[in-house]
Amino acid sequence: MLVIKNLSTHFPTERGLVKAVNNVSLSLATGEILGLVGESGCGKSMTLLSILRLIPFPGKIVGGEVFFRGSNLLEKKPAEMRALRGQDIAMVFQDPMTTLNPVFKVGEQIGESLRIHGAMGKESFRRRYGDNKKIAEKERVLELMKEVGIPSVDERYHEYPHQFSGGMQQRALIAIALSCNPQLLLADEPTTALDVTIQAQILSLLEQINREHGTGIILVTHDLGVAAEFCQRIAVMYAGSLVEVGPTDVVIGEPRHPYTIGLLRSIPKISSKKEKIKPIYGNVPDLAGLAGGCPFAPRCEVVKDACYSEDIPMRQISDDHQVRCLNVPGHSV
Amino acid sequence: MTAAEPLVKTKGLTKYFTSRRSLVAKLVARQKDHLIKAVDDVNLDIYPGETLGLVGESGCGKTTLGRTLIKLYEPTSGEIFYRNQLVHELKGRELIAFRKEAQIIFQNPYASLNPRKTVRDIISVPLRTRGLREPRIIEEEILNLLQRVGLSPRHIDNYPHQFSGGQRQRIGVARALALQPNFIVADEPVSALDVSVQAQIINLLEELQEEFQLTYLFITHDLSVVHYISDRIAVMYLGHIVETAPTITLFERPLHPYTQALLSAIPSVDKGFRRKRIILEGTVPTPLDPPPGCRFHTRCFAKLGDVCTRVTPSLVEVEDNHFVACHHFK
Amino acid sequence: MKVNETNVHLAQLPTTDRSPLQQHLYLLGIKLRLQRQNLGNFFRQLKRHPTAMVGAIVVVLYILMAIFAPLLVPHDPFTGILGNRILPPKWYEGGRPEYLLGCDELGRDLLSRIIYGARVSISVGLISVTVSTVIGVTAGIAAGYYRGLFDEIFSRFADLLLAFPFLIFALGVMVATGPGFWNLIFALCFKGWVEFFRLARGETLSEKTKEYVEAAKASGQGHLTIMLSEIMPNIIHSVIVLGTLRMGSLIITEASLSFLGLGVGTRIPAWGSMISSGRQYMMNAWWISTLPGMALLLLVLSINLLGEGLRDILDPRLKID
Repeated sequence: MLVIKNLSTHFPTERGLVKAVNNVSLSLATGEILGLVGESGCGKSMTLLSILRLIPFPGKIVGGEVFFRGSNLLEKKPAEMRALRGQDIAMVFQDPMTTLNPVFKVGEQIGESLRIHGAMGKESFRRRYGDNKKIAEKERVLELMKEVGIPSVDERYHEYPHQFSGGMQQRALIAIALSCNPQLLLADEPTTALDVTIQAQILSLLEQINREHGTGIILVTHDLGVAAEFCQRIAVMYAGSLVEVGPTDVVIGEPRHPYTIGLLRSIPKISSKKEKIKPIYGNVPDLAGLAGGCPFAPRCEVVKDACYSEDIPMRQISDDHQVRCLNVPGHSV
Repeated sequence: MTAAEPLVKTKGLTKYFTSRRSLVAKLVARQKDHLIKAVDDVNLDIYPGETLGLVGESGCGKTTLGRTLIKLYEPTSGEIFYRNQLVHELKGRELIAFRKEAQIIFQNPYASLNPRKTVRDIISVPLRTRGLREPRIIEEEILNLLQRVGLSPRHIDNYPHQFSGGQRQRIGVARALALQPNFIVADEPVSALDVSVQAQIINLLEELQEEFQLTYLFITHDLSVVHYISDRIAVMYLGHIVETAPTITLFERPLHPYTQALLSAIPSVDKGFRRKRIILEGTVPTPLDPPPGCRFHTRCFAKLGDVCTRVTPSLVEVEDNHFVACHHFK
Repeated sequence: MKVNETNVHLAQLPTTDRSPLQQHLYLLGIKLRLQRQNLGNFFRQLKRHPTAMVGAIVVVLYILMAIFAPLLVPHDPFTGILGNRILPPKWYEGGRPEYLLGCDELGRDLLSRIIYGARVSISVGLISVTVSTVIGVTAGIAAGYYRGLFDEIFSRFADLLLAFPFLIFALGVMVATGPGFWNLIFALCFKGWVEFFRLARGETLSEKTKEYVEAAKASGQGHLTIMLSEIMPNIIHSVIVLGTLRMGSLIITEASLSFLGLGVGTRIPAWGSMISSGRQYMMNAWWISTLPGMALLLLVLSINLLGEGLRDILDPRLKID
């Protein structure tokens, strides 16, 4: 459904060029949940925003292609992109508090997306909810609110965002995202601001949406645990580049890239009490002025001289498992 | 472990915050101060040399409890004992002596270091409290501390903004260590850090514990971290401790419905651990107006009935060292 | 290449092997180097704000002019020569080369009087800003830190003072106390501290909740030390910016009071009273009012330009990265 080829997004800054998204190639099948995992500043959110062409100034998409159902999004006109956003591809952000507008009622904000995309004028919509646009809109909004599990919707419709708890706000945002039945949902750390028990609620809601509507989901998260439990495939990102892509069981169970291995070793396991965690040496690099070669090289345990000089290609090591590392044999993609 | 005298002990510790209205609002609009019941009737023992994990969701009062223990906040009522000394009555020289004993590491490595001070300035403050005066000795001690927490001596005159999150947290650890404490409250020390750096700090804290025989109160919402580092765990919900048990026991046989839900909700990379998820309904009620009776009853999936909504259950020991506050266990 | 032996030696020597004196020198060196670095940084940034740089240069020139006034004046500013009454500036018809800017209605050299007038404006501006800052910041930090009744009283008093227009308030105080240098300072500071109080209180309230303050408390620091050595350095930059900007408006207020005859007194040349006394001659001797007015305008404008620049440099919150 979605195919990203060699996508690159750069930010010119005072300290040098930041390659926030560097040659990223990814694909998502219909109805699939893909986890995009990485640490802060690795470019995972920028990848999502690049798909929607919502890169903040002064960033720029400098190359690549993003095919959504066969057509390249990067070649579309701005008006076509606007129609697409929210309708075919919807996004859920990390911080619901700042995403919802505090001065409008939650119900109206959910309805806004319907109005923008002219949903009420559509034939199928009219047949289902009647001709009166106002009533139809409210009907649909209440239905959406029920679907995402907001209780007592009739009262909640008229409440303002500050009267919602964090989890409820996130549900309202998901309702907005779902309003036009998108085929693709981009979720940027949707549970990071939430408590564990609320996180479980939201994740199971997303799972249900995926199951019932066949919505494809790209979930951006820093939490490997969330990705492991929730996603069918995982893509691991480091300093702007993808380093490993594969099915969840493979990436978690038999990781091949030293960064993925290191990441997994640095998370405490619960089933075996005293398996020592092993941190990755050093710090997450500053993306500005990153030299060529493997960005992970300075922190890598199995680094070779060649790692610093060559640009390392992504290699296919089995049908659906790709790794970007010189130490891992395989043929180039 | 229980044979020893507890290092820190609380009896009915309670901390309410008042969100004060202004004088005018009080006189003219007759508004009253709001009472936030952050910590309510907490009885907790912390034994020397152990790591007690304190887990709970945001707003459950775990941070307040930690800070009240080391007298950053004054308790509303109840007692805190440190080596059988009443903590909240300490003043003057005795308070300074207590400060040397009990330290804290903060969650946010960005806010916990004064942005206008160099590392030297920051770490020399506790060293002076310890009674060191001579600049040469202070510098020497700073360099030792930096080295111990894994920072280079050439960083001594740098400002906090020149460091990454993990390095800042190391500075925070060095500052706490500078007083040579016995007891450290670690308030979410790794939550703000990247996963790959988290492990560095966790390991550092473990090494330091071994080296200096430290006692930790490790506050976190991350259950895999708390599982890794703690000997014993206390689970907190809306100001109450609902369950305490040795780590292994708690993870194998969680008794309180809240603990069960919490443990089942941890997303884990670890297949061996995954269990059937219990999805709790609703959200945590506000501590401004906590529900009566058992505070968990509004979300509980195993409610007994009236007794849960009326009577607050107290902690009972159901097996060796395993305490739970639930009407299911009497 | 020869390297300075002692320096290298000192820095490379382990701390333990240094004598107290060596260590002291070493620390002093680091401190000086840091200070120089900070100052160098500051000037580098100032250079990127050309308007602020110009403002700074003009302000410095004014201050030098005020200090060295007795050496600079070509004539006695206090006594006039009757024949020189309303003498036009040099380049004007009837002007004389030794009186560059002409003379006033009593035949006193205008240039000399303007140079002396800078003394009043600059000293009143500096002293009243300093006094206001000290009072306002002290009370503000204390109020923000301790809250409670102290804060309540000061804040309400500040609200009350803010309800009066500054000039009218100062006018009232001057009428009550009579003209004079220290009375003027008193009148300006009586209300001048309020803005500093509000700034310092607000900043303290937000700084106080940050964890580094709790860390200082946990390290055994007392309240006074926390206020002075933890909170103060974090708010001082905004205070400097406000102080600079306020100085301009205090100088204007001083000139307004002098204009109304309620300034430092008639004996001392002040720009405000010069503008006022030249008013009647506006038609045939415009320079008597206008030139002191220009001097005032240039000074206040430069101060404000400098203030705006300082805000960009020192107050990073207003900086757009």
